[in-house]
Amino acid sequence: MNRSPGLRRKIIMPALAAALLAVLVGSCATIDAPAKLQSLRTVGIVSAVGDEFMLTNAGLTGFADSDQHFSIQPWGIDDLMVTRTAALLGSRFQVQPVTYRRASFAAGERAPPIAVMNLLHDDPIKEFVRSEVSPQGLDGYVIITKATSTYGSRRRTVAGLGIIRTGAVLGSYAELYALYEIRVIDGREFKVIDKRPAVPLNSDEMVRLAGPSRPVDPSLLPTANEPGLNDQLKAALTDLVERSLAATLQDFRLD
Amino acid sequence: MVQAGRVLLLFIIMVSSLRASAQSAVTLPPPSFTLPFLPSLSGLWTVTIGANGNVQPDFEGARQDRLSALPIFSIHRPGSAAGFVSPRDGASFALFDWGGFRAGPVGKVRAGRTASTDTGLNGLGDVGFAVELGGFAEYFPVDWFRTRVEVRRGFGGHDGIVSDLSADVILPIVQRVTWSGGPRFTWEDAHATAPYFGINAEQAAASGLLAFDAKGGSHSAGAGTQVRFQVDPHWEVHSYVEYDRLLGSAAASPLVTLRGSPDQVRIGLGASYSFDVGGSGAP
Repeated sequence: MNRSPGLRRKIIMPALAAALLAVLVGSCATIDAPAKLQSLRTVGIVSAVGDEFMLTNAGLTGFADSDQHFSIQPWGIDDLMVTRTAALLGSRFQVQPVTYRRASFAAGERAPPIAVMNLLHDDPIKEFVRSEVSPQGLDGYVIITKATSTYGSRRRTVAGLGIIRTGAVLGSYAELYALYEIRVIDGREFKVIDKRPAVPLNSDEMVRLAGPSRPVDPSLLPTANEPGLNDQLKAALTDLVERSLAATLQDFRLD
Repeated sequence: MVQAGRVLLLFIIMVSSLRASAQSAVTLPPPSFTLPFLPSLSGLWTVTIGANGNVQPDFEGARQDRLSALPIFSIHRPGSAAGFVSPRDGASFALFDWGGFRAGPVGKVRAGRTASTDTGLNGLGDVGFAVELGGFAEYFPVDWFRTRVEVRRGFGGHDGIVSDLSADVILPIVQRVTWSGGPRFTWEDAHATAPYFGINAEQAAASGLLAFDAKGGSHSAGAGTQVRFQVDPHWEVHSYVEYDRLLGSAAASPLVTLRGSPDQVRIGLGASYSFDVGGSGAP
């Protein structure tokens, strides 16, 4: 057995110092909203998250198992998000109804295969606000769109609303998620004033995604291409959306 | 050595990717600057800290083992880390990620060798640490199977080319326990092998070993296995065993045949704790 005589001085101490620095930088976290947010008076709310529900098979799967997509537009998740957001912001802002082409906002960009390209292109949502939302001229627009998270051993990407069913040698488990992000866009210059993903809700979940999620009984999994008939699934998703909206807007300090 | 420690630290920060969970919310003043192309520093971050203990050969080809310890540290967005990492993987970053195929730059630190630390090295002199930089590619046809190749070029202790190939089956046994394992193979050219296994005339005279001209080729083959146990949302423990059988010039070197062993085993055990900082958290 051998110990390097300078191990502590040469490796461990610099490691701890850098770790402390990184923690401090990382916790330079949020939180006072910029002055620009404070100056907004009239806002419109756009939501384009709830058109589709995705079932992802992960863990022990067959080579042919692929993701399944279901339409859940009849559930009215976007209407719920707009209503709930308006209620949460109503005491602070004058919320005005707006019309928009949901499909444009819901188109959801696919992540480019070359990671650095993500950093180089401009945010298309700003242009959608300028060209597809009516009326124009409000102080700001609160835009709710799908967000993504990685999951599992190969860092698969999931987005929007859905369930991940993970197969294990002994049993399986399922995680319901609602991944979305909120932008506040200046209504005159069409610049993003602030942008935040919906925050994870529970500190004691074994499965952790980048946004709100909760374990659900595998019996809730959509079957026979008819998730629209699954009232339990709708109720669980609605609950997740409502609770996470309150937490996320609290993070903005908009309410 | 100081530089080696810094490089090692950087790699630890880059590569550590352990599952995390939320706990606390800390409110601090916002940062006084922003970087236009980078995500905001504000919001929720997950910090993971821990330690890893390893038993491994004193040097590559050694018969004696030594104990070492390294800190575990990472900071990332909640849910953004995880992913399978083998103990042999270099620190890597995927620039290309599409359909289970990932590729990008990779780096690894190869520890130096000090003759005074082991009697088997008497007369052979020291070899400085090497930083190996190159590229990696890996492919997951399904969640539970990964193949990976790394090709790296050494700087410092050696200036040769090293290529690692591995395959791993990744089995979630239950939600909290994941087992993985599979075969490994390493190829090295003569420039990467000679500093550690070659013996020149001067070294031969000083060590009493026969002079040996190390060549490139198959370097080692073996297997590895790893178990991860998520104790609760905050604590995780993991353990691994990696076995390599030296091949080619590495196995034929008098340093190994007379004073060492071609069978190389590394055993590791570690634990980590994750917690959240920043953000207002859930109501």
